[in-house]
Amino acid sequence: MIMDKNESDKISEWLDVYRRIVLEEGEPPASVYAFCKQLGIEEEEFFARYSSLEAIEAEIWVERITHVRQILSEDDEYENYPPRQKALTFFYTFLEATKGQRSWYLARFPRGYCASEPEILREFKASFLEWARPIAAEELKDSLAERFQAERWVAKVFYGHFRSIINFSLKDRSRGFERTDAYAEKSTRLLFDLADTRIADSAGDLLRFLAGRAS
Amino acid sequence: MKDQKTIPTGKWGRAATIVGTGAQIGANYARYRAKKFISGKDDREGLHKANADDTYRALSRLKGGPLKIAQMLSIDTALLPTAYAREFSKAHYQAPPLSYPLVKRTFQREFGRGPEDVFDTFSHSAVSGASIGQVHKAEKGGRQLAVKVQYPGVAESLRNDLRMIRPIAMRLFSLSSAEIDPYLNEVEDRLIEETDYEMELKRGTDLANRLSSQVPVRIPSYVPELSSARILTMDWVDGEPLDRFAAGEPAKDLKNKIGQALWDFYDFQIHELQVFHADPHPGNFLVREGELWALDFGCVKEIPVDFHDSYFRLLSPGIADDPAEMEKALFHLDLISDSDSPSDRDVLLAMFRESVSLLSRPFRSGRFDFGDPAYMEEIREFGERTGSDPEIKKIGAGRGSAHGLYVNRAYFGLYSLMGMLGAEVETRLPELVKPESVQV
Repeated sequence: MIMDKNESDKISEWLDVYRRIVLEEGEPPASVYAFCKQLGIEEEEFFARYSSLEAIEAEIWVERITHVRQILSEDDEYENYPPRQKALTFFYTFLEATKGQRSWYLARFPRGYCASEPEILREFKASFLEWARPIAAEELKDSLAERFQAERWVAKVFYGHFRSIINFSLKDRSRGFERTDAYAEKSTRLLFDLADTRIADSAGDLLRFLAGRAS
Repeated sequence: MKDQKTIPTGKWGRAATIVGTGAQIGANYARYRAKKFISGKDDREGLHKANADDTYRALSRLKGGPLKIAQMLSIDTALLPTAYAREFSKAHYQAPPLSYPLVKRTFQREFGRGPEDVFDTFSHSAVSGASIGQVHKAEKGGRQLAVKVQYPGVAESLRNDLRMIRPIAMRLFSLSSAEIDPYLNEVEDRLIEETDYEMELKRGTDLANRLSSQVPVRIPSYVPELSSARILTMDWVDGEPLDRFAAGEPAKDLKNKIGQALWDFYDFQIHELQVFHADPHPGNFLVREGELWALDFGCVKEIPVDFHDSYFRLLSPGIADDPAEMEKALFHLDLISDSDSPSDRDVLLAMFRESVSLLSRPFRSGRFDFGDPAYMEEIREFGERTGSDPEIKKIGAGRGSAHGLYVNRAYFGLYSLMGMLGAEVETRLPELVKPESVQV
């Protein structure tokens, strides 16, 4: 959705107020009515854009991913990086962009990324995957896995990795959260080193085998 | 060497590797005992070699902190048999490169701007590795610069690594935890200092000021406004590392001039300042247009005057031939103590007497030729013999003040560098700072 300046300022104010309520009161507003009262607007204005309070929370999550993707698309160097540097740049930009929102992440970020995805993170995940798929495809280029469109599940592995970085940063107690930087660096190196090996090819081979049986 | 495929992360991953090594060392001992039983022949050197291989492999897989510890151990052969020293010395040339995004991130953190905004040009990949960071080449306003960027979180990893290396070190050197802790604490202090680039800048600048006009050694100027706790910017020096210089068979005059500068550099620091560059490996010295440059003031050791005087009293004329004086001096340094049995004391006295008379020879002769292969061979043979003597290993390790660790390391490094150069230099006996106060 394209927004003009006033519109985007208004939305960012709504998001701020919502976050503040959650962080100060310890829970989301009781209803859209209560939230609108806080904002000093009519419900009509709210529903013109969001269908529920969950929708506004989902927006808070996806907004940072959109923001990071925006920054990367404006970076001259980014396009020329190899996939692993693109991934690291994404992670570091995200960590930088969420630096001022640690309390929010601590309060609301769902723990345990093996659990099924909460509805609220759906768009967050979708936007991440949209960014990650071309990177995965670039990494898999010329491998057997490429032919089986393995980038779809490789992108999902990236997503799990991304969540592990967020989880790590939330538990990090080091000065300036330096250990998170080191974790992102080392774990990403490991992930791509694994992709460098024949694992991707073997996985492609297995997929081919399974696909053959199914058909 | 096998390609590194995995990097153990997190405390437990690292612990698993280290524990693996502990078990491996045990297995090697078992193999050694079995071999000795079957052949009746002592294959101790083979055992040390196998242990060193395993320990080194584990350490090099961990990178970062343990790599630094490996470097530290690599140079202190007072504690290490030759096989270890040889394996560990490989550590100088291994380091993981930081990705460019992480370098950028570190700049963002420290300066709020990326490297391309801070400098006119900045190399994306590192030009050389350091164990806790790496060096990039940059340019600003026509000035060529070397920019050292530190691995994030390295200070904390170092602490973890030291905690985990403790049991292995105890086993390697047959020491109890009470015996080894003062040394490990000393190493930890130095390593943690090394992660503070602001301190390095201050010390390097300070030393350069105090050295100037006294010793013909150059030190690159730091750029404080482009440096921080994690990023250190200094002038780029386009020189030849000392090992490459030595390998190029330089003319005798030049060789002696460089060797003399190096000798005087340490002489002045240790005996005049009691503060010295404690990382004397060939990569930290460059030769350019006939001048010696010293780099990297991360590892600097300061010794108390009292320690200096007690230690270098061992070089006083005649002391090596006077058993009673020698014993008193060693006693003063805690190198022998009342708790030693008379037989242990005899073994130790003989070893220290030999060590002092061997290592003090360059100081006593006024002019000394480190190119003399017989002398280097004598040192090597002595190290081998005492390092592999089980009796000395048992009673000799973990003695003396922890200050001695870095003094020994500096002299071991210095002698190795001098031997590598094969330089002939003027020497003098060090003066005690407060000769009247040393009552032994």
